[in-house]
Amino acid sequence: MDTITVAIVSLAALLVLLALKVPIGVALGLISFAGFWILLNFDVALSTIRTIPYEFSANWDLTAIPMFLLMGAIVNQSGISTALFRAARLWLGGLPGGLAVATNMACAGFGAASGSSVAASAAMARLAVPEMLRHGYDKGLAAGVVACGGTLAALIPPSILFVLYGIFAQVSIVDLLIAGVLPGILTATVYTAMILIRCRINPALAPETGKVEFRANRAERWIALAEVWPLLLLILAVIGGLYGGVVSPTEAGAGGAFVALLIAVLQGRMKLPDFLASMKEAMSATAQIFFVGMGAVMYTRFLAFSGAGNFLTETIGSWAFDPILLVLALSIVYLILGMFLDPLGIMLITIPVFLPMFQALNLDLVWLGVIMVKYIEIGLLTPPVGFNVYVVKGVVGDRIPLETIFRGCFWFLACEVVIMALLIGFPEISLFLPETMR
Amino acid sequence: MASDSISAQQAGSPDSSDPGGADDRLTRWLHPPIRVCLWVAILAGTLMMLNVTLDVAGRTLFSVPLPGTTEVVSAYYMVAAAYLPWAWLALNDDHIKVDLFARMLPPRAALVQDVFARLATMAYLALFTWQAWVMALQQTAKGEVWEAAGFYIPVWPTRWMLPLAGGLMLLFLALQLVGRIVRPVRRRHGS
Repeated sequence: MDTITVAIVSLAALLVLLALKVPIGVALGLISFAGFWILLNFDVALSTIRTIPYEFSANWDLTAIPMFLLMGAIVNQSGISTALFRAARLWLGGLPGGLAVATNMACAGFGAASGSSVAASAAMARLAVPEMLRHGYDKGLAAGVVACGGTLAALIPPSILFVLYGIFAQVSIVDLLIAGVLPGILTATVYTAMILIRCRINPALAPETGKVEFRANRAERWIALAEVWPLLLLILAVIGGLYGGVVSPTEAGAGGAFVALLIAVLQGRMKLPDFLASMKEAMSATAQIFFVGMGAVMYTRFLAFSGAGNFLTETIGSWAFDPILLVLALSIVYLILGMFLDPLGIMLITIPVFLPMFQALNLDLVWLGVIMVKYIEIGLLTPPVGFNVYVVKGVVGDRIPLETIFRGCFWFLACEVVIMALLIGFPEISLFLPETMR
Repeated sequence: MASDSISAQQAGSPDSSDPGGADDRLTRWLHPPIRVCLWVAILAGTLMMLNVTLDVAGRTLFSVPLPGTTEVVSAYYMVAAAYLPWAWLALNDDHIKVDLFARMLPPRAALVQDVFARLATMAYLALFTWQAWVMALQQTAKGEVWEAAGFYIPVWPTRWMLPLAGGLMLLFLALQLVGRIVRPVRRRHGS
């Protein structure tokens, strides 16, 4: 077999193993092992598995992952999301669909302190959905906004997906993190506009009980804000520190985790067991990422060695003169993969395959990183296996059927079409902030 | 099985051990070492946060960085965090997988599939552990060190975390597999 055939067979074998429920990290690792064995020999295959894992993990750049995860876990365990939601609701409750708008904003705030969409959706589903249902909100809207709002976490720094992408694509992680800020704000804004318009047109979606409460609680608003301002300040400090080049992503994560811990302890939200639970959450997620990640590194090396990247680029390059076409083709691939795989898996499987093409076509890798993360997050919302939808379903239980949640996400997915068109059509939205850093 | 990974995810920190059965008796003695490994990873994570925070505070506020931070964090804390919780993840069945097809399968086919996925994982772990062991021996013999600002930091001990983590997870999965195969047989005899 020639090298290209081996590479293509390896892709097919990868999909088969995944369908057979083999863990992604194992599938990637075993296939690269077999690939090196077939293309070269057994000793080379052994030496890749001997050297790559340690090299990959004992890496300063990747230390941002456990630190971002820890910051998110501390914020999550401290229960500050309750205060965030209360503040957002007291300030935004008077708008049409005010509770849904407040939930969306609280998701953005929580996401800015945590890099995990799943954690953001789970936390907000626990708080906001019962409130919205109590006020007679449409079930689809209530569940949809937490499932979709959660995806903001992966765009607004800190973001685990951007760190991983940066490592594999060898692009500045800081650039990527900063590039996610405006698209994150854009997404939150478009979501908010959609909720406002829908609730203005059809007030039955969100009965206006919130308004009465809103007027009554003018003084309480400032009290609620007093509780969340330390966290908001920390978020600004983390983003500002990265933007100003004062701290590296790891330092922003470690310092952010430490200050978040300090705030939580001082506000009486965190005792030792909560801290240990945060650590457990962060460390097991770290180990999980590295288990998959080291397989992905081996597979990347194997594909690079086989020359599959060049082959795919030549094949595709002949029809994709226009990079926009390539990006559109990607959207199809990601939408399909997003129906079956979780975000980390999608990212780590597709990077080795797509990156050589992007590089060959001289596309901006930071911009593509943003597009890729967006697609992956959209994949969390699409049936049959929208991961975030299942997370919300797990929290709300029997109160809302799965179909209703998916239906609720439909309007947000319609927004995503607009957002993606803007992000693809105007790369400046993503690239403006990182460019001002230079 | 199918909903495990999702329900575990949203719980944040899943701590539900195996729901009884034959595999429980076979693997229970492994729980203490698995917990110890997780605790070492937790300690490493805590130290990483404190060490990096001190370094960045020292550097920006007093222009006095903490020497050797990069090396100790990358070689010690990072390696501990990346590998030591592996067996604990297996204990909680928290590895990422694709569940769509499994949900549609009849129980018997699902068992076959589970056994296949497990054997593949074990084969991979066996290769990993073997090679990590070879590497650890080599680097220990060499006394591997990394150069930090003006001094050397021995990093060879961290090489041993890989075969330890891989071996522990392999052992756990193997014993659990034995238990899973024994259990349905026994149940059939019982009913």
